[in-house]
Amino acid sequence: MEYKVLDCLYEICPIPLLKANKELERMHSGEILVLLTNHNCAISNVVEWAKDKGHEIDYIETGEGEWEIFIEKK
Amino acid sequence: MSSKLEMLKKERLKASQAEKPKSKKNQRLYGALLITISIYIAFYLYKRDSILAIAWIFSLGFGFVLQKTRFCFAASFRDPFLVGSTKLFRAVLIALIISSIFFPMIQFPIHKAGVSDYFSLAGLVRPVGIHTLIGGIMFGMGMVVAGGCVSGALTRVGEGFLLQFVVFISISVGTLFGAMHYKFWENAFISSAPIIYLPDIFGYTLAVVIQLSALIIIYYLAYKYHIKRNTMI
Repeated sequence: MEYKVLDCLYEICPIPLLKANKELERMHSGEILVLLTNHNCAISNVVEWAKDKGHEIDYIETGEGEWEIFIEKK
Repeated sequence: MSSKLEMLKKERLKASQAEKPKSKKNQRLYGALLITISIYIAFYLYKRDSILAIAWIFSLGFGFVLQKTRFCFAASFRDPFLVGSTKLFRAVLIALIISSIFFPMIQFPIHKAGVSDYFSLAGLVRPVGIHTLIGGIMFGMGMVVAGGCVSGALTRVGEGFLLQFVVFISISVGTLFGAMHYKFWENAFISSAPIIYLPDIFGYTLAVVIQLSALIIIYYLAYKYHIKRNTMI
């Protein structure tokens, strides 16, 4: 499956959100962005934001305190 | 949920577990140990001074709530500008509304008993002036750059987010400098600034009504702003 990975490990809030926003603007509808983060605020922050914007979103915990957030552009 | 995301989720989860299998370390024992130690500390403090024990239990409660809700004061004041989300900002407003209802209930009896000294009233009734504005702007810039205010940084230190250790050390150093220079600021700005205590001007009932109305209007405007910023794009 095609997707774009955005590494935001060790980045503090709100950098993951800003990077995701920038990346999503360059992407086309239906494309998927995978955001790596170990900052738990990114979960609530990015997830809430993406939902408000109407993107499809989900996330998994890949390690202890590490997450992958999947965003499918609206 | 789209099927595409569902598939990707499964795929990535499998890949991540193949790469580094999730350790099955059970943390319940540590949790039980920590709770036991906390209770022991509470009893120890209670024997020395009951107020310390109350402070200890409330601190643990606050920490728990802050971590579990991921409540963040920095984000509450930053997100309205950055991404147009006022959800957290409105949460802060609700906290203020609740305090506006209950603080007067605590302050009224003290005030009525003849205490005219503002520093003895419950809550922080302090001079307001240009120093409040300057301090707010400096603190605001600092917390957005550092990724958290004091409570936020502390919560993340507890979670093990290393960068916030640096932030926490900086906060400690900054607070120390602030305390060192506090006399200067007090003489230059704070002592000459007025204390504005609404119940003195309007009486308790009207003061509470005015404050609540103002907060509710701000809440409504924040809600409208949220809707506007999040449907245009």
